[in-house]
Formats: sequence, structure tokens, C-alpha cells
Amino acid sequence: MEKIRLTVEELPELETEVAVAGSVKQQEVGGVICLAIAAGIVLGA
Amino acid sequence: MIVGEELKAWTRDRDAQRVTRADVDAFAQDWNRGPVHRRLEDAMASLPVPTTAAQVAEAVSALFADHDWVDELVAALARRMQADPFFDPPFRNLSTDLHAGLLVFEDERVSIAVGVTSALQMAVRKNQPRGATSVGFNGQLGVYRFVKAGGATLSFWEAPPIGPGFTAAGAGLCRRTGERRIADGEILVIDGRRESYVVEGLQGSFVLLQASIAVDQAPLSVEYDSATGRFVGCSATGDTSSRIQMITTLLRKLDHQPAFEAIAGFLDHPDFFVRWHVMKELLGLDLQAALPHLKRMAATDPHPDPRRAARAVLDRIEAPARPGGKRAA
Repeated sequence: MEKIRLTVEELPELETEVAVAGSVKQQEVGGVICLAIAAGIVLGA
Repeated sequence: MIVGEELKAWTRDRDAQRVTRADVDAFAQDWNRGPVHRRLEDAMASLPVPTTAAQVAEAVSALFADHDWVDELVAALARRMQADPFFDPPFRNLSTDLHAGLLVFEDERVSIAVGVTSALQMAVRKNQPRGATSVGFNGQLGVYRFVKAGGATLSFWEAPPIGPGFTAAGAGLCRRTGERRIADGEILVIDGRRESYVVEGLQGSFVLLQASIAVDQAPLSVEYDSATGRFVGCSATGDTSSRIQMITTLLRKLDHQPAFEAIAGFLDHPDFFVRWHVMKELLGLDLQAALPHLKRMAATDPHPDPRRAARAVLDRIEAPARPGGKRAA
């Protein structure tokens, strides 16, 4: 039997939007070195 | 990058490549079996189970009291690289535009890195025109030994603690709490779940020994605007959460129905953003099967954001159908 599905892209996002590990929105001003960011974790597109 | 005749010769010489590879492997073996690595392993193995971030920090601080091994390690690497320009240190490379480092120890409790922050690059960054900048709270307790402080002046910052219930709306403001010059050899313990630092000035490059403690880490690292102190954004602290999100999306895009129950197993994940992500993928796979989970999330999820989002979807589903058989958007 055909499943009923919702279109994921049309579902609401959380008010607290969380980016993938190691990403930043603005340039870091020059402080604590986050090893995850420095390691350049690549999780794919 | 090594270019020219030397590289051309090396790329054509399988024996030379084998020698380089053998040297790299031998170095890694020596390091992994050597006294420093063993001391780190023994210290971590002797911690109680379960252990706390503070206990890991205490053990690491004791190990950081002796840092002669940093000079020895750097000297040993330099010798190998002088002897063979194609020798690639067998450590994960950590680099930003300001900092170059090597990850010398890693287990499930702590990652330890040695690195240099360049005074020149720092000056370039501080003096060039740039857009908005952030103070980052990395979500982990950290121990920092400034092996050579380079005359660094640091400012210190605080923000509301980042916990499992963190919300953008309740992020509050970060604030500067002080500033001082750091001495050579000084050890700082910075709780990245509520504290951070910014390098305000440098007279020379500094050499830093850094331990980032994964035990009791916050689910998020958080950015605040350095000028206004306002919340800018956040990202997952660990890559496990992000990988779960990617894999569940892939399974849904492949319409892999047998994975439904396995994906639903992540609805109890400690990170709120993983729970909602998984919920969306389940709704994209099979609405009827996902509906009981959606109702439970709307009623009982401990975080307000997934509760609100789940409620919004339920309201949409339960809205009376419009004439023509379509439901209200």
C-alpha cells in the first residue's frame, strides 16, 4: 500500500536553528580555538 | 607545497615513497608507544567511571605541568622533515587562518593538540577591514597551557550556561569580564560551556597546548556578536549528531522504509535538534506510523522548540479539510 508522506522541506524549522558541527556564521574575533572547527570536519554537502 | 624537480623525482620513485611512508609509520609507532602517549593513556585509564569533566581537567592540568616533551616533539618532527621534505607528520592537522596545530592525543574523553598562533596573521586579521565578528563558546571544558605566551593579552568573556535546554530566544548576552597579559607557562582552565577568551594583542607568536574535554560537553557551541554581545548562531558540538541527521535524511530520500524503526530510535536522542530532525524524516517516510511519535513529541518533549514545531504540524494535519479535499496549510 502506498504510504502517505509529508514533504520534509515544508515542515517547520526549530526557532533555535542549529548548524552542523564545525560551522560558524561570523568570523571568530580571535580566541578559543575550537578543535572541531580547526580540524575542518567535513560532513558533506 | 614542494614543487619542481625534487617533487617530480619523488613522485616517480616508488622506493623513495616507500622510505617516506616507512619513516612516517615508524614515527607514529614511536609516538604511540612512547612515554608521553603512555602517560596520557594511563592518566585517562585511571579516571573513575563515570568520570566528570572536572576530573579530566584535573588530570590534564597535572600532565601539562611538564611540557618539555612539546619542544622534543617539535624538534623530532623538524629533524625528520629536514631529512626528508616529503615527511608528513602522522597527526591530524588542525588549521585555521590564525592557528596551525597537530592533534597529538585523542580518546573519547579528551583531545589534546599542540599548535602555534601566528602573531603576524593575528595582526593582519585585526587590522584589515572586516565584517561582524564573533566570540565563540565552544561548549567544552578546556585546559590551555601557554607554553610560550608571546606576550599575549587576553580578554575574558562570559555567557549564560549552554545546556540541553538552550534556546536562541533565551540565549541572553555575552559580556566581557576582564583582560590581562598571560605569562609564559601559564595554565588556564576555561569552561567553554559559559566562558571564553579573545586574543586582544600579541607581541610574538604563541605556542599553545590545548585539551578539549568531551565529557559533559554542551550539545552546542554558541556564537555571540563581539560588538553587541547578542546571540548570533549555534552549531552542534560533536559531529555524531550531525552524522545522524545526514544519515537519516539519506535513508528518507532513498525511501528506505525498513529503516523506520531504527530512525525512530533517535527520537530519544539527548540533542533537541536531532530529535526534531529525525521526526521530520519519519514524517517524510510514513505519516501514519510517525503520527503517534509526533503526538508524543508535541506533548512531552523536554525542549520547547520541538514541542512547538510538532504542535504546528499536528494542527496542520488536524485542520478541517477545505472544499475540494485539501487540508488547510
